Amino acid sequence: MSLTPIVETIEARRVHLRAGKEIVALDSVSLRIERGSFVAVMGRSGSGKSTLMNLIGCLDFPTSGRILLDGSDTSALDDRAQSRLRNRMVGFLFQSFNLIPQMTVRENVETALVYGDRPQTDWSERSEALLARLGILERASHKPGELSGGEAQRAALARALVNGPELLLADEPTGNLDSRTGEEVLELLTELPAEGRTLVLVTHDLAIAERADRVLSLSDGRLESDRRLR
Amino acid sequence: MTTKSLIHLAVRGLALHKLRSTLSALGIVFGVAAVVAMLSVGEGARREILAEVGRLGINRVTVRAGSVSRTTEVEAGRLQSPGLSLADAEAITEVCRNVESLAPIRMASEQIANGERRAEATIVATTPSFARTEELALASGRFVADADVSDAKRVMVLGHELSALLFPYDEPVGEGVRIGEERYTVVGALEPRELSRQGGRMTGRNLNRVAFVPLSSMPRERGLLDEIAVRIDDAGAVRDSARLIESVVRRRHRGAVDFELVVPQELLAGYERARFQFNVVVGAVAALSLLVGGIGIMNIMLANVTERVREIGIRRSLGASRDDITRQFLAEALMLTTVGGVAGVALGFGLALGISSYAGWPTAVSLRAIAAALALAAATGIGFGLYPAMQAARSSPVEALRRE
Repeated sequence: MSLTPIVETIEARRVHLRAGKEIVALDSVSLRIERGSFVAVMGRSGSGKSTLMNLIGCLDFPTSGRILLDGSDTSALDDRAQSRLRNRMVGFLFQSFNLIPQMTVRENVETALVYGDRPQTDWSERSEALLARLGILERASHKPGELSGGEAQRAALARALVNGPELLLADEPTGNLDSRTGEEVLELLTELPAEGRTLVLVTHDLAIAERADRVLSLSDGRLESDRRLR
Repeated sequence: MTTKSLIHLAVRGLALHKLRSTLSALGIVFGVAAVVAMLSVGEGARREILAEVGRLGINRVTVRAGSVSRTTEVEAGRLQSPGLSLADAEAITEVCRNVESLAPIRMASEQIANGERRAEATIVATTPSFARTEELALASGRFVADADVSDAKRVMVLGHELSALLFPYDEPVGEGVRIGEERYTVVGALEPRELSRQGGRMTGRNLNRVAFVPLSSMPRERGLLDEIAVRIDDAGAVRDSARLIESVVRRRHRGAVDFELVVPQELLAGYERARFQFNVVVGAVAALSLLVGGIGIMNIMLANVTERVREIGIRRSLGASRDDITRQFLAEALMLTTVGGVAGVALGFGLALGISSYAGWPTAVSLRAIAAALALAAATGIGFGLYPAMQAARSSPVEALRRE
């Protein structure tokens, strides 16, 4: 495993322009995230959690400062290279699942493979293995509207993991789930660091955050605290 | 992203809104159908004209005696024009190097009789070279020979219909017929000759109702002729030769316009000019209808893009680049117009058949027309799909994902 941290942010600042006014979403955040760690991100809404996730996930780019993902400066890459990096390195998990409603679970999972390099002959084997591991293989031909919340989030997790990313970014993944299914999904997620994958999880729930190796707290776009729990 | 997954994506994308996709493709269907149908009519007419000119002879120039109007007739008298004569024929042969063969012609309408059987015929008195200038094909016997002309022999070659009318049961060669009191011996009979479909100036005479006799058997004062048929050896030299022939004859006629020149190739050129105008009109109509179709496509694609902003965001988060998104939506537009184009070609083909059978116009669907129509449809897809596709690629994935 490489010694460079999977993520490093250097004085990362993100400013949005709304109605002619500058809004600072993230302000001078510098941090490193080690490979294979489980990092929880906490903070009130509007504190910059999602902005940080988007910057780390190469979906958004800092106004100033730098984001290094697997050692490469994301702002320095062109759109194609950024997209490649995102496809290869990052899996996203959202509170609202973000499955494409017109597609079946299998098609949703394979959509992540469409933009990768794996040969199409491997697609169904790969996605089926993952769906089986997550316990929803029998729902593969269903559309998202026919799934329970827990099933939908597992399907989304299968899609996030199908390219074998080193980094999983989960933005309140249990926020739309009842506590029991939330716990099931959380258990699946917490297995990831043991496989050498890095999990960054945004949560409001202190009980969830306490299971992480490290808790970052954001407030008004600034990194307020950085606690290592283990 | 592979082409296969791109096509798959496009089909899936369009299948989301089947009715909407179908309706927007209809604009292209009708546009392409109109183009194909109109080009088919044009192509049909072109082929017919070409066939017509082919029958008349692309290498032919005919000098016809006769004044175009009363004024030119009076003028000819005042100028003391000698009229179209054998001397003109000799002058043409002498001056024009490109003459391959030349036949002087005298004509008369007579009744030919074989016993009780009678038939109205055009009697053409000419020389053996007429067979070459007109490319006559003999069914039996021979054509008028040089010796027939020099000895003013009473021999006759019958056109196909005349042989059938006068000799329904027998072989005509060797038999005798009469024109008035004069007896002729039939020495040859012609193969049937395909007739021109259309009337008017371009139509050749009906060679099936013609009886050929030696030029000398229809003598006229001062060697006057009705026509001189000239065959030019090189199709490329026909128009120059025609001009030369005209000036030779006019000079010999002291400037009088008591003859006219029939040049099938010039008629063809005139037709080609008209066809060009037709094509410009067709092109304008095609461009307009495809413009309308294209605007429909753009409209639908913009609606699709707006509606699917979230999907675009999801795809971007999964590793789709801006180019991937552009290609996806461009592929959808291209798919719409290509499928519309293919359906349009089929419909246009049907329309052409319908026009053919209803109006009786000849139509021909050329491969070039089909290729042009499809290329236009595809170009419309790319042209009008590009903006919505770029719009889709430009949207911010973060904004898109935030949308509920």
